[in-house]
Amino acid sequence: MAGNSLNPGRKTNKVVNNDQLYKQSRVKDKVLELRLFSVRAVVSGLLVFGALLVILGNAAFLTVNKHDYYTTRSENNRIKREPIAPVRGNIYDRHGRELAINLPSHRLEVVPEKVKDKEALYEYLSSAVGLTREGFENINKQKRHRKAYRGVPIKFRLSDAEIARISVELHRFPELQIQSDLTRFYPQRDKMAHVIGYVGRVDSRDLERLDANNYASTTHVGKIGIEKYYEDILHGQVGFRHIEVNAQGREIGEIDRTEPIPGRNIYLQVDIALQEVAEAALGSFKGAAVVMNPKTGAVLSMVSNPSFDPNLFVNGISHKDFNALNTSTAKPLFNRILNGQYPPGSTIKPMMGLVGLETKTFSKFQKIYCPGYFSLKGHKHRFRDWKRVGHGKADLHKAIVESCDVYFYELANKLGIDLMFAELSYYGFGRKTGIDLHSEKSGLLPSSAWKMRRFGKQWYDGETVIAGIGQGYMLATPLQIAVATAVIANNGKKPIPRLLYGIENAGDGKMAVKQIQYDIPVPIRNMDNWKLIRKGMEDVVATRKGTAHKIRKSLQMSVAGKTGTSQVFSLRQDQNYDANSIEARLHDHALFVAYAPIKDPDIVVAVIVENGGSGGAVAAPIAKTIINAYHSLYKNKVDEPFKKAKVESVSVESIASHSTTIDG
Amino acid sequence: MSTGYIQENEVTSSSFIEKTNIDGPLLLGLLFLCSLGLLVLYSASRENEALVIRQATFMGIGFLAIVIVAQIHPYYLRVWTPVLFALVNLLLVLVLVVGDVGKGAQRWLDLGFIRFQPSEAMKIILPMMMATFFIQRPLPPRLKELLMALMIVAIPVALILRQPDLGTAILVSLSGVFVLFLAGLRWWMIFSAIGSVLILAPIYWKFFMHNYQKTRVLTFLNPENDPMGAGWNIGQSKIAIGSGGFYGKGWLSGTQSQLEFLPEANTDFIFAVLAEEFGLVGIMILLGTYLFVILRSLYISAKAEDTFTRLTGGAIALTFFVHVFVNCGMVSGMLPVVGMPLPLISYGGTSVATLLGGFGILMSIAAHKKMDKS
Repeated sequence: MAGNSLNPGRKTNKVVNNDQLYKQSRVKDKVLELRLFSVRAVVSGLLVFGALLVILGNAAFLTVNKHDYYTTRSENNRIKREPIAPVRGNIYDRHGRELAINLPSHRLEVVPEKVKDKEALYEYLSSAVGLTREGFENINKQKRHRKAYRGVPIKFRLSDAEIARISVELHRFPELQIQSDLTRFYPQRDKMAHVIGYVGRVDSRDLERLDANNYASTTHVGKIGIEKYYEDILHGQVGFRHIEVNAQGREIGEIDRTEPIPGRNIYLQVDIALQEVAEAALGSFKGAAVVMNPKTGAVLSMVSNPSFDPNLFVNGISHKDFNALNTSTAKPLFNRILNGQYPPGSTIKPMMGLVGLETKTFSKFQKIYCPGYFSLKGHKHRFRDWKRVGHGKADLHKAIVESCDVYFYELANKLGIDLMFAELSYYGFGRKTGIDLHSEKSGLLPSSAWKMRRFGKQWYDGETVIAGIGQGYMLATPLQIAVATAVIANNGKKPIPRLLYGIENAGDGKMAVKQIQYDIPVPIRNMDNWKLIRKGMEDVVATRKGTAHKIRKSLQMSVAGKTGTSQVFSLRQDQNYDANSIEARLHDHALFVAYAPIKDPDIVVAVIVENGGSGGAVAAPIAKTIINAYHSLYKNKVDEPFKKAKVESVSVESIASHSTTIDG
Repeated sequence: MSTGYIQENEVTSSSFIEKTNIDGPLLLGLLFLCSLGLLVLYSASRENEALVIRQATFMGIGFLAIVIVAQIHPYYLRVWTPVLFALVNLLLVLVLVVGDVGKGAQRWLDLGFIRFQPSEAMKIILPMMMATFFIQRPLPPRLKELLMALMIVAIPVALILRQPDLGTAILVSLSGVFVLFLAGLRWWMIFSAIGSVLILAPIYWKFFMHNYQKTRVLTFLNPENDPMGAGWNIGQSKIAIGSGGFYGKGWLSGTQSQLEFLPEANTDFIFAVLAEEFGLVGIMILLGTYLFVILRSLYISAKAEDTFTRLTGGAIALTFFVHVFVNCGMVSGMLPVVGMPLPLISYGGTSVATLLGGFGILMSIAAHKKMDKS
């Protein structure tokens, strides 16, 4: 600005000559310097003002224009939504006896953030609760998936002694905490374990199919049985609380809370007292028993023997326990009622006979001569009767009462496999019954088309012959056999078996009742045919020649039934079946189906004893014990369960569909 | 001191400044800033009373320094400037030898009873030294004088860069540059200097910058690169400012600061605490007060009688401004993160005491218009 040339006024306090003046050509000029400074000061002031205005402008942009955006981010910072798991619904039997409940329990947790001396902690935990080094290292792994300052469970269901022992050491390890929680408990232990099922820790496979929102803080989920099938109803709806957290994620305080909606209690049709008798009746036999109301499909008892204690699975079963259960030849984990597929044997004869009459293949007067075997025309192969000497001349009634195989060989041969397939399908063979449990097997009702599909081979007549007595390819689950028997007892009406009685409303204790459901009924062409079959079954027990007549004496109800002895092992033509000479696992299965009372039946019982031998000698007495127990429990009439409950005629389906649409 | 005789004669008409050598408006501005600072610090420290009392003590020392320095005639300040300049440079050397390490840099000098950052004092001593240099030289400075003056700047800046403390080094350089600017440095020189800085900066980046400094700059250029790491600070402070809105969330109610989402809330990022709790209104009041203090200081400097006081006063005012601008700009995401406190608001004893001491010099300038001691 102010150049030297503009600097004429010299205020000198020292004498300088022209040369010096020329050289220096400038001296201090106070007025000019003041002016110069003033200009620069004003420029500075303006720059300062402008710069602060920029700061303010940016601040205004952040606080006004982007306020909402940053408010959201600020709230997201400080407010965390924390789910609260609902309390799982209980499971009761038809009289309100506890099958699955929640027990208050305590678990030991460690807060990894608070750990000071890792080694000291490990040493203590390994001695106090037997924590392994591997388990201890897992705590640190879990750290990543977990919010800060949350406890990692070390041991569930601490015993009183453990609580006492650990409590006194808590001051030494501030990172440890004993938390109270609820543990699923099955007070019936191994009784009905296959029906009730169990819950287990939620694993990654569960997470794929579960609603992540609703299960956000749920630790256990139904794995099998009723616990799995009615998971939606038992689980309830997750609650939430909004908590304020600091930058480290530590909770500062609760802002609000939406309580979870507890899972609903479920009442089953089963009677645990009857179950106890049935299990005891099977005793050490491997096998299954089903007790069902033929009119409603209500399942009163379901035994799969041997059983297991579902409590072992709740908090993770130990390798030792699991291996013991899994490798046992008795297969305690195997649900024989739904998954056990057995040749139905002679228990199919009432249905076969009825098919013969209804299709007018045989009349009720038709008699077959039974020499003890049957051969197809032009073949030498003898299909044997269980009675070597034969039954002589047998009509259908006699064929059922005495279980004449040759009659049914003839009948089957006459019917042909495909008509048998079509007709027997009505009784539910080869199809799932639709019971309210998962992973039911459908058995096998063979047809020529099936064989072509399955093996690419044509059907042989000989295969039809043995199918007539429920052998060969034919397989059925105990439940299917029970349902087929119920059809006979129920004049063709085919109920869908069900375990659920109702669902209790949380608030008013009212019960939503499961509606009775029927499958496609078996067409009735002539009711007399049905009566004849039922008379045959009646006489199986009632007459001296009947294969189950030995149980008649001590029966407290009138019972109609049918024995079955199904082959596991094929004998050669010239061989005799000798139980002593073959391995136990190849022994015949003993079967018995029954309904009672004969007039207006209330229950159907199906019993199968694996490798038990003769149906009449082994299976029928077990059925008798169950029927007698039923009689003494119900005094010959079916009571309405749940006197306590105000029954509301809301269908369970409406609840189930409602509970799945609730949002998280 | 020098006007003592007037006081006796004109008691009734004597103004506050004539009685106390203190410029009333400037003092009020500073008092307001310090009060606001303590208020915000109380909240930012999450009601840490001990910390606030410590800060208040330093402010007390600072105001005491104002009163004392105000009584000293600028003549003595000028006379002692070369000695002080040499002494502070010596202290900077001492810091490098025996200084305490804090956050990866040697900045502190432990004097036993007090920990002290000599680089802070340099922000005032350097402009004074520069002003002293220009007293006998006609203004505007010529190239030769400019280079000589830059030598004066280079010594302390080099020492501070060795610590390393880029923020303070830049600020100290600027305090020297402001003297040159106020001294009337030709515009072509100014623009050439800016141009050469732009050319030299990449070279400096490449060969002399520490990684943490580079990270800061890179983070500034693209904060989203590292939202959980270095970008976290800027992100959180912008959330604090933005969520504060127009009126703020209220004192002690800023969630970003109270729940520790905001880093360095007591010191470098305290502006965000103020913004969150007092909103845009609070920002306007703060910036308005800063503007008032700076303009008042420039006015006092312009009214001064001689080169030394003018340049010293003006440079102190502008250095103060740079603190404000860099800190606010950094916290609101307009400038890279450099360690620089918000003047009189951020926690930090040396900073507060030095800044207030600097204003003591301005008080002295305001009170003693005549350079000659008569």
